[in-house]
Amino acid sequence: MGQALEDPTRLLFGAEVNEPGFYRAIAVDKTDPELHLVYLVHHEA
Amino acid sequence: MRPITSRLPKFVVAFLVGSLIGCRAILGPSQGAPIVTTTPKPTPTISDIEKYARLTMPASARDIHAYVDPGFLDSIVILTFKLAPEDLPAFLADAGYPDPLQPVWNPLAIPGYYDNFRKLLPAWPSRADWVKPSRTRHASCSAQR
Repeated sequence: MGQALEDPTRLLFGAEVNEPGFYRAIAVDKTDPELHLVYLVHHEA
Repeated sequence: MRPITSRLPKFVVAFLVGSLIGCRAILGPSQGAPIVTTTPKPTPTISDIEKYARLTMPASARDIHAYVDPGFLDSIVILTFKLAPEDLPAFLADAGYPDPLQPVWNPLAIPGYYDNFRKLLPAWPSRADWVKPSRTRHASCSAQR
């Protein structure tokens, strides 16, 4: 993947939901216009 | 001299041994309560992902890598996959992100940046993959000569 945050050619977007007992964060790499890459972490207590 | 157990009837010895095991179970860390354990699913299915992450995988999802630990009290899902851009809005809305995603400039906003999720999911980027090591160095560390 290669240092996504410092590569100006990478298009990285994200968001998170953080509530008591619930956490979900997502990052989407939109660099490839044909196929986006999703990273998701879900935690629930 | 013969041991005392050899002079006792066998049912008495069995009773004593059983009582000892029972006491150890009650006095153990769980205080006698049943211990419920769960283990991460070695090969989670799409159903596992959707169930424990509470989302719907898009039809165009491919190259899916997931770590699913249903846990007993806490559950965690670490997931990465590729999808067609046209499926992204519906997926985000279903996953609880009705607003547009924002550009990520800060490594703190990266999910799993601090946690070494790569140990759990080899397809997950390492911290070095996200940010150059020099950027994560503290000023106080670099000031030491």
